[in-house]
Amino acid sequence: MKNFKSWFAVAVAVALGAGCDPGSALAQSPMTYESLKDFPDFAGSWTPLGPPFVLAPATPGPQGAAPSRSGVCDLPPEFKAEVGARCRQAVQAARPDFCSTQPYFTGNPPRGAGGAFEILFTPGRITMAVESGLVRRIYLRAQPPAGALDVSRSGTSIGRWEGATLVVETTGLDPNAPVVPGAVLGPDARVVERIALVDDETLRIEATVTAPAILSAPRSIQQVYRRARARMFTDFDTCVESDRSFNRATGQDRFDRTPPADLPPPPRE
Amino acid sequence: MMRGRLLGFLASCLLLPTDIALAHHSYAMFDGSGTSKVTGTVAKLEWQNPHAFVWVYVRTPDKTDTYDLWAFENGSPSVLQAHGWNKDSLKVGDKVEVEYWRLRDGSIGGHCEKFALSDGSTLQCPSDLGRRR
Repeated sequence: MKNFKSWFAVAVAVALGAGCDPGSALAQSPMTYESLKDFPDFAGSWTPLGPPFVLAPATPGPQGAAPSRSGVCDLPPEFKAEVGARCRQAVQAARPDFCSTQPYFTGNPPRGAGGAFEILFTPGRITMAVESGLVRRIYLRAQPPAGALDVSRSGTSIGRWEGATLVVETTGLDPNAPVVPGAVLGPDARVVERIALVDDETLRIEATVTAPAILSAPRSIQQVYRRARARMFTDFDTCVESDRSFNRATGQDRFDRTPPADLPPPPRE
Repeated sequence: MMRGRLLGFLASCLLLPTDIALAHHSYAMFDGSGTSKVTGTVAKLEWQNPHAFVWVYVRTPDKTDTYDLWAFENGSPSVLQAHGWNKDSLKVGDKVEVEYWRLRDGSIGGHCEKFALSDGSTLQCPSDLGRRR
């Protein structure tokens, strides 16, 4: 009886986990806890390299006024011309709520402040946790899992190993996801990412975005990251953090000089 | 103008123009034409997102017994750590010379460019404000 129970339990597990879902991780992925040592070491916190704050050139404003940024609608050449035109119209007409339009869009490798991330391996799935709040689930299987949403901001990501390179294909991206002012992603967009170690402490993500509604040709982006194995991972979201530099209520930059409550007294000299 | 800043932020978040701003505010509040220096005593390194702030007591000009509290915006902890900082990089009481980008409104403080400590070491603040000149 005991053997029968064991056999039955295994059979149920197989049926639920694989047999009823031909694209499942069990069926498709050689990745097991035992095999993790055979995959590239992606452990630790990865921090974007490159200038942390890359500002568009300032445009001279009226005498005495602070310079404004230009370049919002100066789009890369892969963007269709009409996208730029719509962008310029939108800039003139509207002021979006930037928190409501924060993208969770996977074609944009994490960058800048909040762009640090971790990559976690479990059998059948790789999880990428980005400090700015996005958690990506990359399924190591042949097709999206049953129950995957038809469309979402971050889409559905399917991964496979090509040697030591993790190749991730993302489909199901929300066609209404904002891209630039006045333009959304459009239908049939997809992203292919190639994630690999450059050396022991450097990781590179190459993302190629296909978005026929707004791009006349696929657009490739590359971002490099440095590993910090012992670094404390600190999630944050500029839409919820206390921000001394930007007042969301007014939409104004600010420099909040309210002193912290626990400052020591001035020096006695 | 503020609308433009917000849209700039949006574009930085969204699809791909990698050469567009990554910061979450415009930095227009800072005078990018050049840096200044001030010497003082660290009151606190506020290790927080999205920007760490450094609070420094600076002796009030022409007075011997009073201090002003200066505030310096810095990068985010994740960016700072990539530049060798940690939350103990500056301790209460440390004597520092701060090189900084002034606030356009003339108030005391700004965006730090570099901290020089009394032991001769320096801490670079992550900023490319200088490249905008």
